[in-house]
Amino acid sequence: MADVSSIDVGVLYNGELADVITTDCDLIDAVSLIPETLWHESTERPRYRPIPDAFQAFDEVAAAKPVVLHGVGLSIGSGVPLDWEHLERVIATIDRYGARWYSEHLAAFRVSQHASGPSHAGVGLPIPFDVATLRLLVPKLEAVVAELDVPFLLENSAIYVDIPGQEMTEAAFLNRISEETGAGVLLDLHNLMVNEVNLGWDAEAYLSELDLRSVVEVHVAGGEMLGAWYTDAHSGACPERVWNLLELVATAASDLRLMTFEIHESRVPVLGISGVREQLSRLHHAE
Amino acid sequence: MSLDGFHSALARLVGDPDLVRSVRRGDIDWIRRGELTEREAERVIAMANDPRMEVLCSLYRSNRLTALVRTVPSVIIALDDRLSDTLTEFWRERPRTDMQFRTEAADFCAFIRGRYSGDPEIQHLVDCAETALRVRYDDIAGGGALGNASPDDTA
Repeated sequence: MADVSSIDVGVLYNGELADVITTDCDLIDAVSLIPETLWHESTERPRYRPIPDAFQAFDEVAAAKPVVLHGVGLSIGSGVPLDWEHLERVIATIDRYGARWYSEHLAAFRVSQHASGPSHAGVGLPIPFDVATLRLLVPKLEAVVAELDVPFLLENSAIYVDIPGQEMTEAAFLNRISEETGAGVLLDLHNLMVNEVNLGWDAEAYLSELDLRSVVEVHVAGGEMLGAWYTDAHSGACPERVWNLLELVATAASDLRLMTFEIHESRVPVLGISGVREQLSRLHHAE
Repeated sequence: MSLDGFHSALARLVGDPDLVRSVRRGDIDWIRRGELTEREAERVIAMANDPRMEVLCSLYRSNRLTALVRTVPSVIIALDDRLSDTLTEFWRERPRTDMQFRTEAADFCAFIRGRYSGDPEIQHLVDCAETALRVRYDDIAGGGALGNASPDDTA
């Protein structure tokens, strides 16, 4: 059982939260950064161009708080080869900020065979939880884990449309990945709730099946309806269901080190800084 | 097993609701003709017929529209009742190449410049928008960090 008081509380960084991060020392123990916000990426050369203002702003944050990285650009769930150039860019960011770990999404963002050529899918696409997918992804994941000097985590996704006839559940798939590659898990409880609402998943059964010893970080967030479906919009306060799931995880995940609140920067003024503080305070009391 | 082919087919559907509707009407030759295995093709067809596919289509359009509203709002406003058809045309012709707002905005300006070549007001607004993009991004004058996709934009 985890010592809940030893689990840090963090936020996913955006400019609207910079003041809270640097001034509310008691509420925020660590900051999660999307490394791709530090540079412009182009299909031309040079592929990456640093954004000095972004580095400068985050340098100040990183001087105040420990950092973890949460990537959106590696597309590790794609069938395309590992993007070494992107990984090198991320590693340089890990080194710059002494990041404690690096996480990525268990989804596909890049596709190489679109009718008009290589492209970004525009949304995260689900991956088939099959043995064949495992065999394809494990060598890539092993390469990433071997290349990094810090732990590598994979995050469960909000799926929206599930793939028929899969050979295993997402929890079983993540267990196999952890066993075979040593990658840890970033368990996004709001994504799990999204899948529960839209796909009819049994969240408790999911948590019973997932090897919680592999969970290093938890994400919590709020969402909203889009038509008849519930989306991972990071739109405000966490629903009670997320807090309920967190109670189940926080005391059972023995290696859980960080609980991170995510909110889209455009929604910070709506929730208000006081609302953000309330969410962070509640995380501190999660048990 | 062709995971990339499977995802490429899904990406086409997500970016083109008309294509989803056409698959639902039984136009599935392009799926069967590709490199997909029988199981992958069946999965793509089943997913196209899943009502939740509309969420992915909406998120795709929302993510791409957000990029334009945040970077070239004056052009978006000026298109007015032409906006919907223009965006559909743009998204169909130019799938996303990366996750960057700058790329999306620059592509959109180039597309609009050609699409509305006979409209001086639109041409002027595109001129202004492209200048603003250069100041914002190429001159690295600030604000750029907020111009990238967030996980919300891609999840």
